[in-house]
Amino acid sequence: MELLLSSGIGLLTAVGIYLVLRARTFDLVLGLTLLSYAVNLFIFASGRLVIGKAPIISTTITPTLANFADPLPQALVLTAIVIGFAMTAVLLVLSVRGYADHGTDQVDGREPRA
Amino acid sequence: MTHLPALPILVPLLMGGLLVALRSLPPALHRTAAGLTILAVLTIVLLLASATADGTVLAYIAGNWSAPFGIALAVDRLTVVMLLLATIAVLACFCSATDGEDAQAPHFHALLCLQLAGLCGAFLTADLFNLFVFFELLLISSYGLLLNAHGGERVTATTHYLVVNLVGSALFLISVALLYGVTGTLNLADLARRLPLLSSTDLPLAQVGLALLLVVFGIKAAMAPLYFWLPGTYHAASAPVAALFAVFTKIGVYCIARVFNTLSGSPAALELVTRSLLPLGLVTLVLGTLGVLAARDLRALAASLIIVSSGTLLAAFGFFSVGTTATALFYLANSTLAGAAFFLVASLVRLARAEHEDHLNIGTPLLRSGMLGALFVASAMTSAGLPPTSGFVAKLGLLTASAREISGYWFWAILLTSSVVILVALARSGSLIFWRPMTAEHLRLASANAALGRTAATEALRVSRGTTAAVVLLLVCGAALTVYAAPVQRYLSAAAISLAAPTRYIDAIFSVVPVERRP
Repeated sequence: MELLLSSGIGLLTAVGIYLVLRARTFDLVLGLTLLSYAVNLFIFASGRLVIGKAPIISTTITPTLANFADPLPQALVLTAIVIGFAMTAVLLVLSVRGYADHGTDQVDGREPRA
Repeated sequence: MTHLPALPILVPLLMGGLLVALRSLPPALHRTAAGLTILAVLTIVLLLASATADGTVLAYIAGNWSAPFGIALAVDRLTVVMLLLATIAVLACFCSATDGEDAQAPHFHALLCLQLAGLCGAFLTADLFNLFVFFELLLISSYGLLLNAHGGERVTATTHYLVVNLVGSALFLISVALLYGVTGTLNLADLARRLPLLSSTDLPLAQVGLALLLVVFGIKAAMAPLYFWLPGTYHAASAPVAALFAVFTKIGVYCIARVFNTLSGSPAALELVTRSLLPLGLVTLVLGTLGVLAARDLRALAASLIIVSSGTLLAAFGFFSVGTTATALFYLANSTLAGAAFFLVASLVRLARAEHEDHLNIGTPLLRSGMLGALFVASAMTSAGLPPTSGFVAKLGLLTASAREISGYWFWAILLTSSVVILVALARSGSLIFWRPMTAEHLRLASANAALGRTAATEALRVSRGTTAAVVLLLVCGAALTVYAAPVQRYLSAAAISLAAPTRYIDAIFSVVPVERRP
């Protein structure tokens, strides 16, 4: 599972960075979205990978991290997702406006000289 | 436990939300509400200042969760200084925006309130993830303010600014996750206690996390080579917003100073950061100075001056010594005020020169430009650091303090050279705009207007009363820094001492006891 998750994060980051470095707003939006997925998974992994354990402490089991999943990264991920979502929405609005204003989706508002 | 430390965030946040909801109210009411909010925050900050003046650290645990489980806010003297500067910058922005910029978009004042909440939050919080949240709050409102219902160049500039900051946010989250993964905490005080106890296998991860944090703060602070977003953004921004943005780079600088000084108990984890801060600051200083020389208009010149001040501050904090930190804080206050004033003066000049805008070329003469010229000279002198302005006091302090440091001679050489270059560039731009020789045709046209009692310069000042008031406000604050230089420096030295020895800050956060709830 560790290998799968870490290579997944790596792949998402690599694709995200590649897309962000392309100077088109559509690619930028996709790239930043993939990058934020990778980041979210990474935060999630910082609470260690556990299977079949609840993040909420119950009175019947000894409250140590061996018996429970770490709840904090889950809360952090939730916040990061919401903020990332809002930022992507702003970027989308800007992209559409930029396309309408400049007639191109190039990030500088003009086609590069050939 | 007093709720005072949370108020600078809550008051503008609530007002911002209210103003968004009540958008149908007349604009004048929005303006009054925003103005009152800013004054209320100013009052709260002054109350906080009097509560912490003796070195007390006021800590606040949000939601009654004791540290390190909940989010902690903490106020010490440094926080108060930053809060005060941020509020003054927002106030200057507000005054200047009343000239008409606030009528361009329906939510200008709501965004300004949210911006203030974000700024205060970023200075108050003692939790890394919460810092991220406040960064996002202040960024998302700054996108709105920057755009302010304009298209064209502003859309392009905002897109660049947004993308750079989104990538920065991703890096911030990665570093937060790394630090949480190895230490199990994000509370700054708890991190300071746990970092020295790390095993040697976890240490490299913490080092990478902290170095990434430096990159993130470096983007905000316009540290070389991460400052390329700044000139375009500040150039595209309207005058009030650009003046507000003068405080933005200082957030990055503050976070660098606060976070890395609080964690200074674990030098092994911080090694990458402490080694690289001084050289990076000096490189920023050199590149910013070249930018000042290369500027083709006043706005670009002002943006490069911001980079220069960032470089100076990063280098001064990079010594990690109490003496340079204390004088750097004085320079920080001075450069925030001077930077904001310069942007506003640039906008006045731009208005007065009509088709020549603020380009550094020979245009229509500015007759009867005494007042405008005086504002320009005063803000230019403060920026360049000429006596008797506060810029001079700040630079003198920095040079005196750094003389005692190893490799202080690099700082001396670069800072002095950069000062001369800036002085030349500012003198050149001033004489081009105000003093250049004029042709007979120019003179005839201008004196015909002057005979009517108004010239372009007086007209520009008349139309933009708010901006003029904002410039005067900033310059008066600068003058107060000069007059009260000794007490201000004493206060800042005390702030620097408690910054470098953060035990009190850490203990205060841990010693807040949650309020007992009775059923």
